[in-house]
Amino acid sequence: MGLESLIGGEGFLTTTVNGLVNWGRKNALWPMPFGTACCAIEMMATFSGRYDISRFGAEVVRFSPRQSDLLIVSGRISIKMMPVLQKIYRQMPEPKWVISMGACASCGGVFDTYTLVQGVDQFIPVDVYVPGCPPRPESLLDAVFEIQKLVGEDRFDSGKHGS
Amino acid sequence: MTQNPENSGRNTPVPSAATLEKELEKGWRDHRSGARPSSVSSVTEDDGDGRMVMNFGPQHPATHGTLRSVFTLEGESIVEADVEIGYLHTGFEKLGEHMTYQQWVTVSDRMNYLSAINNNVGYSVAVEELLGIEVPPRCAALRVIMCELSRIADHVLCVGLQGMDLGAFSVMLWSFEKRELVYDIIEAVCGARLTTSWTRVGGIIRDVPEFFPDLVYSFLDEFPPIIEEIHGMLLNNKIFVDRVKDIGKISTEQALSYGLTGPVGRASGLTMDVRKDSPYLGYDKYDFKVPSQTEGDSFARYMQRMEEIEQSLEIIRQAMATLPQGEVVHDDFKTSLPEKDAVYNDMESLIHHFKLVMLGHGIRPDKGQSIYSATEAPCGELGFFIASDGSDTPYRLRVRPPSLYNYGLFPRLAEGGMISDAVAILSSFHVIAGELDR
Amino acid sequence: MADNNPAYEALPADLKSKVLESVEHQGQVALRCKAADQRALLENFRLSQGYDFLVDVTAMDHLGKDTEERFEIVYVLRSLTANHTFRLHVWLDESDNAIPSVFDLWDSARWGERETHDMFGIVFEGNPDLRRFLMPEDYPAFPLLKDYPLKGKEERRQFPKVVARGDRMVEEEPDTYPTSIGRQMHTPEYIEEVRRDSKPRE
Ligand code: SF4
Repeated sequence: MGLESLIGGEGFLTTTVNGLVNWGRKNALWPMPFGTACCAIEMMATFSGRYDISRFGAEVVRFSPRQSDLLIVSGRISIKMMPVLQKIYRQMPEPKWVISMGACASCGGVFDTYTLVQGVDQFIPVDVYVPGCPPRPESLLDAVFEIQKLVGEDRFDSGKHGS
Repeated sequence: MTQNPENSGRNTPVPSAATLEKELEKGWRDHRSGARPSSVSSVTEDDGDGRMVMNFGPQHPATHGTLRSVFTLEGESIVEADVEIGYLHTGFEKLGEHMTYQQWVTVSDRMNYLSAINNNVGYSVAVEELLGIEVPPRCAALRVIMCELSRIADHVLCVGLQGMDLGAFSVMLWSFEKRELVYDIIEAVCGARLTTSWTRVGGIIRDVPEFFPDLVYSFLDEFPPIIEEIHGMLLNNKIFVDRVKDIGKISTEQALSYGLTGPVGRASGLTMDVRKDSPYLGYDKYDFKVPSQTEGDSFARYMQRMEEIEQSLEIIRQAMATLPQGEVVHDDFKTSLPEKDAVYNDMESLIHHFKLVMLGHGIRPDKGQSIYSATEAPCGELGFFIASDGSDTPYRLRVRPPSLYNYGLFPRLAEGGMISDAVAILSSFHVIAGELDR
Repeated sequence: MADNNPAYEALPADLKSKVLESVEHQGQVALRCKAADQRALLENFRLSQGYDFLVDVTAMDHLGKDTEERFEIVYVLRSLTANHTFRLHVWLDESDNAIPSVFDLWDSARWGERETHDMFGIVFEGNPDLRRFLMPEDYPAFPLLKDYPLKGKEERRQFPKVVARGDRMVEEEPDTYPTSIGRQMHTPEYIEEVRRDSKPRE
């Protein structure tokens, strides 16, 4: 992964600007953990010792949306919480990606009740869904890899969602 | 209608629930068609008297989930505190009225997700009490062991988060590492790490694997030094000690009146523990102490949790030494599900299973029976009020969450202190949003 | 009636007659009374008998059932010195819908009553803080009433969808898509089901 291996012995490398920017972006994701319920505990487990998300460059957890580019929605989102989530999503600067972690965030899970939003993707765009109740930390890591793939495919100057 | 003498001074009639609902419905429609709800927008404002209203949460690292407080500040100090909860309201109680008694076990994990097994056990014990059945001794002992393991995991995480909120980040990373030890055991026993759904009404899902004693004994060897480690990291940390000592003092009377239970109550001298006062699952067989503190400040709550961990280890030790052999499911198959193996391989068990899971045929307590049954969860007294109408779903299922009543005192404590004190108090309360809002 | 409940035995004679019945199940006693006598009984339990711990306040809705009144308020009381727990069930008429608060006797009633108000719409007179609690301020219903459907009345769908267009955020109509169980909402069948859910159970 290191730059040294790319450069080789010559001291220079050729790439596209797009390739360079995406390489930087995808290996330094700054997640904003929007953890509400049980899934948040598994998310915290992913960030801490045993699973250690920092191996993949995504450990700089920012609790301020303005400093982050990956929103991890983990947990049940109630109708009282939904405006907050939307506000946080609005506050994140472009480019931004969203992971919907767990059954509840993705579709309401076991709670088909009056107060739970049945899937946050009705109200904000979601890039990667993680199944499970709760997903194991490995699944969340896998979702981060998926996001990295998505980032790698983007044209950095296009605006992420097109316009 | 009988006229209530207390109410006779009332000059306006109280609207009925239906009228109130109609008014609200109109308001809701107006609101939705216009702007977004106002309640989340105000962040700071200065209304001319030098006071500032500050929102703390619902998405803030120190609120551990979804608590929201609104502080009126004068400089750094809080003159008025108000809290708003419900950001994680999920409708557990309503769901309880639509699910059968066995099904709701699954939902109960999601309440206090840091120690799901305690919820499972609490709910199962409540239904068993309603039905008047007693689980076999092996099942009771296993439940006790797993409950105490979860309690340790819960307390150790709470202490870690308390450290994290006050700037000692490594404690949190370490405590998560220690939690993984408990997760390993839980995973071996029921396959899931967090949402266990391990108990059934009348028993547990299946017997523990053969290597379970090895796991627990190695945990018992590994864990005690960790208590010293955590103490070493926090008690030698002057910042931590200074920020929690004499902060958020709760008197015993206050604790009693506000209904505080669990470590928060016991740290204020309220020596109440359901495990001792009305023993369930044979807790009276084990020899353990209920530690308590008298200071009632955040530091006392920290010490209280650490001492409770030691007692829990003691209980596990005793329970492992006397772990009986035998069945793990109550043998009356009118009420308890047979084990899965038996269902697949044995005709009779299959029939029992079928009758229990068919809609309208499951557990049906008699009409009009109701019970309030409490167990000691890591946060405090977890009570279930279950009323039956003779059908296979509860007529009313009320959860008495310890976090709700514990949290009720928080705004009073925060008033008069600094913002940083509010963080120290909140982290020592260990409020679990899932359980608070249900 | 009420054979072995010390709390009942210790009541003065005039209050004893206010207790309508006493049910015992698995060793736990539940006393019943009318709303008019609730305050006097609870005051006696708290002030004269030392039931100093109010464990919980909640309510039940008996809509469409053959019961005395529609609502039943449940107080769980405990005395720490006597280590005794029992319940007091209070019948509350639907048209009255108000009952005196007991927050001055136990502080824990403040939040217990507030939650019961939020879930059932019952007014606890005198409670200083009866705002909405778990539900949003302007929520149009009291969700634990039996005539409110489990899945709500579509309140959970009434948000715009926020999407990024270039560097602007715009609001759009929310997605209509199958729920977790793979069905389209807003179809006649779905609405029919919501209606069916809202009927009181037999
Ligand atoms: S998906 Fe499961 S674990 Fe995650 S928040 Fe929902 S109930 Fe909890």
